[in-house]
Amino acid sequence: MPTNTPSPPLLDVHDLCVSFTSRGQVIPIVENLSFSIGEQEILGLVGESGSGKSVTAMALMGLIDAPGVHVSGFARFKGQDLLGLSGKQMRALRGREIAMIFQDPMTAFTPVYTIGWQIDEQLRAHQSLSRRQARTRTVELLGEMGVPDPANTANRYPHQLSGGLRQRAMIAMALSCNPSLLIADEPTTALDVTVQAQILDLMRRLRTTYGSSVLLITHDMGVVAETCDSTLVLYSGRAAETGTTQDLFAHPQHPYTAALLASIPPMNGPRPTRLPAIPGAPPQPLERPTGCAFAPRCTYTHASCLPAPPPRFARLARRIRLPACCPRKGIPSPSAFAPAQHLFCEKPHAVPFPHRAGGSSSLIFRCNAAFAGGKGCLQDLQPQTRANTPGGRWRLLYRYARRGAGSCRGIRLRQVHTGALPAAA
Amino acid sequence: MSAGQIVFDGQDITRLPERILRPLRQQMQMVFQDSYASLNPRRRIGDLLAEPLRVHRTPDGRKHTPMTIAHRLEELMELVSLPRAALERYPHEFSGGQRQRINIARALVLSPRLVVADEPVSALDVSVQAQIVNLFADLQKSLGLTYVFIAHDLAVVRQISTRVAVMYLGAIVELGETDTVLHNPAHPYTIALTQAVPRPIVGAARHAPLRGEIPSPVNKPSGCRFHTRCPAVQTRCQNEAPTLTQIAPNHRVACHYPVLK
Repeated sequence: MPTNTPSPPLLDVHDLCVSFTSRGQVIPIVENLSFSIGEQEILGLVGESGSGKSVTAMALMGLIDAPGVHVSGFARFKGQDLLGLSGKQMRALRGREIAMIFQDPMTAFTPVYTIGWQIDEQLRAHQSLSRRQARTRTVELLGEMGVPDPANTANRYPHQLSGGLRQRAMIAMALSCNPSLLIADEPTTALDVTVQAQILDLMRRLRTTYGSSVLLITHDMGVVAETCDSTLVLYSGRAAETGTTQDLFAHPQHPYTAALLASIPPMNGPRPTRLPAIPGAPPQPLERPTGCAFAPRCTYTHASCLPAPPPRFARLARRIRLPACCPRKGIPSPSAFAPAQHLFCEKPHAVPFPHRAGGSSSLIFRCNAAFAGGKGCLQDLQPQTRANTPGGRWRLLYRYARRGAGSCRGIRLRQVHTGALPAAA
Repeated sequence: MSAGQIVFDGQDITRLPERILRPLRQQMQMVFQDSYASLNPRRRIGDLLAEPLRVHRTPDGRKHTPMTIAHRLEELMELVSLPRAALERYPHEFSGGQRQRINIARALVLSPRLVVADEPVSALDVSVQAQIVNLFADLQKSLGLTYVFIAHDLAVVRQISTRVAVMYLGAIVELGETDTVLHNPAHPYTIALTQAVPRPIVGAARHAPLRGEIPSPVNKPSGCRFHTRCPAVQTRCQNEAPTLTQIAPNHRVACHYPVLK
């Protein structure tokens, strides 16, 4: 377990931006991402599909070479900036210092050579070893990864091995040159639950036996909780929250993290009749809102969430929790939000669509008991939905309310539209 | 080569000819894992959903009229919480979760009694997965459906099912009420499975994972098919295959030495 030592982090990524150009439009994929990984630390990079997890890893490895791609920021790794290296310098580093494990070990291996041949090749590319020495090391590595009968397995082709064995061989290959950093992109997603447990066990042991740091990319919060020291939650290409895994799971500060954890069906305790799902879907990169990317789906949206993106991390101090969520005046932090208590408007009805900025309209709300009992919470009202159907399309309009206005059970609010409005559906 | 019997609503359907089976299929429909591959990319949603109605007839043997079809489709869109405008659009215009809603709508077009859902949520992100699991639960309640819900995620299984059958290498090893099977598992495999699920709790007790991997179905192990990986294996397990035996009301296990609590 890494301790709070002042030693510089192994990898320090600052303001990483990746964008593609398509039909003259710049499509931001990853925006202003900053994080760092310490020696022997396992950092979990979590997010839904399309949130930019894999693109981040590929950018760090210098593996994105699509035309029109633009990578900026810097990634300091052992005194050099990974993003500024030439192809030749990067090749010397890749495999030796930074290695990668992919989700699908079947496609990551060449089907036409044996597993052993492929691991030998990587060893001999980076170290001056004879064929025999390389093979001895390969067999040794496979054995350490828990491959039964490693000498014979090394002579087999990828298709002859099971998924779990292939993944072990993949990890053996990645570790062959004793890399300081291992990037594992969804290493267990394609595996059975029981085999996944074996591989996670192996990953946890790596840092003590090999001294490697691991960047573990996954979408499974369970995998993160079991494996990672710290966690970075990505949403729509932007960092939502980062911190030690323990804190982040115990007290999620960003509404997205909280909602994500809440939407996982529990394995113990009473079965909820309905799961607290997050309405809607993550926005497409081109359709990201100008404000907080999560605002359209967030239960706690505040006026300040809309106009500008959340203040990005000025400098990421290690192990300090930094949710990228706007400060909300007079609102408790989301960890104190129990969703049921804070769903202020159960059934907003007669919600008109604002058609232009500067106009006004009135809204009528019916409030639930929790709100009726509270004081001064009007700022939290969310005239955000047009359709009342459960799971229906939710649309954030805007919010504006005066503290203490209106009565408790039914409230009429005059809405003043300011700033840019989201387009009507 | 297959043997055995499939009985649906008191009728043996194992060897029925296609001609008789086809009208029966109105009552059993399926939802697949890959929401994109299961929708024809060249046809509009409305067209896709209307097809079962064009193929099948009403209970009194008449054809569905375009009017009734249109009406039914709108009803379905409401049922799965999609806008009516979706009927005019193509599958690629929807997100994974929305496409799965469309697949569910298509399975429900003919008001089936049984829906077989093969890993319907495993390709979805967690936040969207919760929406679809809720939808399945709502529909079950409002339409009185029976599901065969195939999944590998035990947490999802626990959320949605009344009874659970755990399969290993082609056979059911444990069968019973959800809470019994998942909280008091009797088969060593079920026990290992419940322990192996990564839980979103930091510092949760970890158990030693099962050794080895699922053997090839081509040459299954002798005796109990789990004996090669079983932590409590005994000599009898290697020679004699256990049968599914009742160990408690509504709880059956295929193991010589079930763990009883």
